Amino acid sequence: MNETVIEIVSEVFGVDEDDVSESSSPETIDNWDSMNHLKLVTAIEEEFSINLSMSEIESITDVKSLMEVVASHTK
Amino acid sequence: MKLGKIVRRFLVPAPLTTFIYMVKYGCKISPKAEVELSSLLKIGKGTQVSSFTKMKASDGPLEIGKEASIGTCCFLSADKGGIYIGDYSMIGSNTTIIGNNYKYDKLDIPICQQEKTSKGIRIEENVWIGAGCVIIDGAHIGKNVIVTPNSVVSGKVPENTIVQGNPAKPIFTRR
Repeated sequence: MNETVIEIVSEVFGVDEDDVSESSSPETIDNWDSMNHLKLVTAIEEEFSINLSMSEIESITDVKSLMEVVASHTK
Repeated sequence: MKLGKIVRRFLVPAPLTTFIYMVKYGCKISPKAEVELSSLLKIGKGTQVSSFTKMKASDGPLEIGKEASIGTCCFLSADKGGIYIGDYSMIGSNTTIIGNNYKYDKLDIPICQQEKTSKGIRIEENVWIGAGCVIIDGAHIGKNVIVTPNSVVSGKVPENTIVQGNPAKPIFTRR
């Protein structure tokens, strides 16, 4: 699952998969702006067939927290 | 051009137009905006139209709901199909909303001399359109939609979505 998340992050932000880690965040990925954040959420929701709440979307501050949110929905 | 249209478009001082619409509808139109005096133009109470915006409503109805706001340097041109902008909607600066189109099926006739079409544009309530957008004839933007800056909208936009690009496509559903 974590590999899929990293794959989607690299695809949405247009960065190499090797450059994406659990600690990747808007500070380390240039394209991670508010608009691409929403694109990321939409891509994650489609891939895992889940629906995130606004508070969950706001809690995603880096790849690690994104993985935790996805894990809580796919248990 | 008919004499009445010439008078309404060029000879009525802008501050007078602002005053007439303020008394008639309770809206706030900047004296620096170019707004036609037309019975086809209806503006809701509390709506603001900023400076250097041009609004044409002599060929078709242009209706704006209450408490809406139109930014600076916008161009709104209504034709037979009309333009409707719902309550509380915000139109960013430099946005162009054109309510007509030309047919271009004859190669031997200049496009400007071919038939004009007008399906109309409908922007529902609580829509936020970013700066520099272009809304083309036939567009129908659902309520609560956000259009990101510099997008081009030509078709139907589902309600509660955020759309981006040319042509504008949903990137997120608001919740």
